[in-house]
Amino acid sequence: MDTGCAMEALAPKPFSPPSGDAPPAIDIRHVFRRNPGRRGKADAVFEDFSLRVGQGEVVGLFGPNGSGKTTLLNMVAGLLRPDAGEIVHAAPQRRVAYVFQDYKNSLFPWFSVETNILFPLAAAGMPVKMRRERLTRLRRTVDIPFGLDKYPYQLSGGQQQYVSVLRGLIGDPSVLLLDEPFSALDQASTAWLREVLRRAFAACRVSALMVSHDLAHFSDLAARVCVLSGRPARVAREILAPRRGRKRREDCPYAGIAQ
Amino acid sequence: MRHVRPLCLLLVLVVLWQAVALLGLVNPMFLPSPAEVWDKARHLSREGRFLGDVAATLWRALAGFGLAFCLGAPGGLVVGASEKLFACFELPIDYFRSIPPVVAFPLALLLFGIGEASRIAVVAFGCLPILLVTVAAGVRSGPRLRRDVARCMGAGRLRLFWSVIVPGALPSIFVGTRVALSMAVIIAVVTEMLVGARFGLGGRVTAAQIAYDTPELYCDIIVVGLAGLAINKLCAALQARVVHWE
Repeated sequence: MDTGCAMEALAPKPFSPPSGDAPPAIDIRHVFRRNPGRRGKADAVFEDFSLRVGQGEVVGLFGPNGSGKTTLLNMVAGLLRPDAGEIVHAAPQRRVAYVFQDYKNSLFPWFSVETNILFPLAAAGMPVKMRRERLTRLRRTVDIPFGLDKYPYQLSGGQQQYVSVLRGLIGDPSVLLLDEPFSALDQASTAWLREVLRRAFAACRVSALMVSHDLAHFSDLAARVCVLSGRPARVAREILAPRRGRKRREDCPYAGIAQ
Repeated sequence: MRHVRPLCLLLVLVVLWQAVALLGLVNPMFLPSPAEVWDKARHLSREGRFLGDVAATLWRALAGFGLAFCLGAPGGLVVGASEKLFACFELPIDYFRSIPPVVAFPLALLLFGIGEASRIAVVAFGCLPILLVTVAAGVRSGPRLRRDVARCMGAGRLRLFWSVIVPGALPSIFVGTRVALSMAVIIAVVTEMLVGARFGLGGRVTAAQIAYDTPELYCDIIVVGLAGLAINKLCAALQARVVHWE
């Protein structure tokens, strides 16, 4: 047993941005946000919250229900505004891609997989020829193990969620946001999706912020996991993922953490 | 195989009907035997006049429905997609839906005269609120997430409407169409019964009643039912092809 190594990985680390010259893909600086609560009382979700996602880094966000994980993603996506503080994007000209938990209702069942994947490019008004080129490039970069002429309902849940990730990747996003991408999937689909996502993230070198309520989901995917405390949320601790090579759940470096 | 059971049931009903008629349990004036009705039907089918009546009724129903569809489907989509418009139109639509369309027939006669226009207008008046309500409800019941996703990916209003709202509302457009078409046939027949049209199944039924021609009455009733069933099945087949994802 490599308990020592695991303990080291679990030890709280001081907040340290990834080193290097490139500016972080996402720099969340001293963000304050109150959500409207019951009886007009505002509920402080974030107070002076800071987090950085480096270029090509996959960061996991883990925390109790209601700790503001989705609120944070919505703020990074620009769907919500922070009350104070700022969220700096390294490449503001590029879009943010958002993958939702509910893949059934976030894909368009009346379009083929190909049309679904290309939808963001069509919405941005890109000519058909360029869209095709982008798709060819994506297919060369990542593995798509099903026909693009199929309809979403002909695919398994994991494959459908993979389609919505591909739809995010096709636009060459500045950051990919994943909100509980596995929680509507069964165990086999989750395992399959984690494997294809690991390869896709490595091939595309995309910066990503991923939310999950299950720490095991992050292993092999996230380089760093931020454990959020309850409200107001702050990073209670950071876990740097050791490299791959684990197969069993109990070998997961996060398995011992009881939140 | 799935058609066999309904057909068996139908056969049993016809045999029962024939038995009742043969045993003389019901006055033959009110219940002619199936054989008599079948003879009448064969006789009628050779008569050009009968087919002309069926065609006239179907034409009124379809024309009125078509008019209502051209207004109701786009109207329902727009009203359903906008929160403000829905708040404005919900009550008026419910109000007009509560008026039995046939009540408006005398007014339509005054406005459009005794010809085709008044009948078609009343059919359209009956179908329009049905289509508006079903389509608007269909748009509103669609998952919000899909619209948010499209907006999040930068889709403009037009793309949102054509790529997300319209396909999402297609199932409810078909539901509205099927309900409205049944209503259209009903209204068309009733207007023909009220004021004599030269052609039409409604007028035929009234004439048969006056002449005590019960086999003819039964034939007419059966044909109206068959026409309605055919329209409904046709719609269902089209729906299964178009709305392939449900």
